[in-house]
Amino acid sequence: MIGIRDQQGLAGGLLLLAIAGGLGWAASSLAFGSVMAMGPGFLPQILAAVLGGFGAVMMMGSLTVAGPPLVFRRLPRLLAVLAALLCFAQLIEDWGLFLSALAVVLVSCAAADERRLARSLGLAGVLATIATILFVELLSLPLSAWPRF
Amino acid sequence: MELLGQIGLGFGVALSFDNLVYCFVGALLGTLVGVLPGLGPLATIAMLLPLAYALSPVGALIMLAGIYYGAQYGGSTTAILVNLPGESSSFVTTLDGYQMARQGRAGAALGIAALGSFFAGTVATLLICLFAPMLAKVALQFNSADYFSLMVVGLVAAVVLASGSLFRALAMIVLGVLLGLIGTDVSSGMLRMTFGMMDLADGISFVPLAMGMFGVAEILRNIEEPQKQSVIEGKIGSWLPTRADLKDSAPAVLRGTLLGSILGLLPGGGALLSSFASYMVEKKLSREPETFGRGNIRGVAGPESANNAGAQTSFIPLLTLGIPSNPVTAIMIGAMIMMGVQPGPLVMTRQPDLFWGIIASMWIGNLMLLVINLPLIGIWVRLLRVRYSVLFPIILLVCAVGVYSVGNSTFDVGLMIVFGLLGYLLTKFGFEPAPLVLGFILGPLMEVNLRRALIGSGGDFSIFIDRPISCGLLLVSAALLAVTCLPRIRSARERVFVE
Repeated sequence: MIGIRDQQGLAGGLLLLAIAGGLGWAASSLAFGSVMAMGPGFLPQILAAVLGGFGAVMMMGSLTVAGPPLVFRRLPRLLAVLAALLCFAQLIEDWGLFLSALAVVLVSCAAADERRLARSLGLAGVLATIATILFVELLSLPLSAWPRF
Repeated sequence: MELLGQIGLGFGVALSFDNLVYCFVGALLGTLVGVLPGLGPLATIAMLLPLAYALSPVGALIMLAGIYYGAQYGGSTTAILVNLPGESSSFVTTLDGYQMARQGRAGAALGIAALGSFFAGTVATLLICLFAPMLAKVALQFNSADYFSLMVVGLVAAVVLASGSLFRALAMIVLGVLLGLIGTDVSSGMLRMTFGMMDLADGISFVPLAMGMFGVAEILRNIEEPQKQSVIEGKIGSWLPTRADLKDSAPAVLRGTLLGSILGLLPGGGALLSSFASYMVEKKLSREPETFGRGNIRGVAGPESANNAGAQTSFIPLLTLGIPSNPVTAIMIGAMIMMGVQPGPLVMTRQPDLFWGIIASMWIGNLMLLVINLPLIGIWVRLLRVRYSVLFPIILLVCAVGVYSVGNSTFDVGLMIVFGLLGYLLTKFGFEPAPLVLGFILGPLMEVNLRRALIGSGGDFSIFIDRPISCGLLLVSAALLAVTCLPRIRSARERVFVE
């Protein structure tokens, strides 16, 4: 019977194939050289091909050998975590550490089990204050604490 | 006598006020973060990596090493009190440690774990003093072909000892090496696989990769599958082991130390394998194997000593050959390279203060752990009750600020997000991130040595077989791979990791 028996294997193989394809494409314009004088593209091209091979074998294997199912839970929460970091990257240069830290904690609190606005605001305020004092004042990292205008 | 002088030099470095402070701060921070639920040594070191940038190489490595021991120690605390292994190597400790805690003997379990670890650490440090110089001398004979083969052994061992499927571990190594090659090619100056991003010209930075793979990905996993915590209520008991406890566990500590010291040397070995092996040995040798898993103190003493000894001796290949033998030492190598120290046999002769200073500080760090931790058990127990919903925003914030502050680059924050997502997806699909990190560190070094060896031999691959050192190393890797593929060993290996 043909069918997907190993969802993890199939997805993993696809991921490997995609990465191998991307990196292999990026390396395809580099000179391959020869064994005696390896060019910049020598290893990248070989390894991308090998990785693609691994991916393909995994995908084929997933059709015959059964494996554990692939279950994603709580996807919105996971996205909130990544979004929190993204906020930080967007804000830190212009808005300073205090406001960026506030944003990180507030957004990531959306991923927590208990979501109460007052609690999140309190936590964000406390952590942003501590972070500003710790990182800017005590450790004197090269960060600005407040927005630059 | 030369050795004494060198050890003296090491202690001179390690006992300077600054370095003592770094060692103390490292051990304390490591324990603090390692005790927090859901944070193992890898995540801890990755998270605190940016701190090291502000220090001198010696200070930074001393602190990182301190963080490592501290985190490992913190991991056994959570294993005993919460039944949660902070990392894979303290998994065995949960078996008997948690049972002891339920019987009101948590203190004794923690105490014997700490004392056993300290003893093992002392022995392993001595071993490093004795054998590292010898190994470094041998390593000076290595040429590029030998180095290439040595790294092959390292990677193969990482595959063999990875807990999941061999095939997937191999794929992770290839992926790691590929990622390591991104950036400017050393010999031609060409930009490789940068997709036109100038931020990638120097390659993918190590800090965002490590923090993403081990810090952010861990948070994602913990949020998806919240772990039920049941902190032991009630009495912890005195941490001072009784005379009977000591008598019971002394042989286990000795055997664990021996096993761990040897297994730690193997590339890919280190703490994990040591603790599993020690537990099995203790159970086999015991007259009452049925008491294991029900709070037998030997089941704590042996593995805890073994994993500390293994963690310690795994620094030998790192310091003498420049080869990481597990993800933690891979992070240390990454840190060394970032600070302009090229790990390898030359470190010992060119920077003896660094080399011996780190070794001396290992022992001091172990001593500090004992002194700081046992009296503070009460505080650690309280930390264990911190809820994850409060904890993970803090971790995220520290990761974000840390990764940004290294190069004031929002691109690095972006990279960390990408690798966090990648690390999460990879574990979802049954891959392990550890071999990837090893490949990432070793990849560029392997390419350089491969290229050099082949230029030297005029493109003839037989150079790898003609040189005895290289040939021997390649045979070792072939044997390792072959042995793992044998069906009997394979099923035994699976059983070990399932248990």
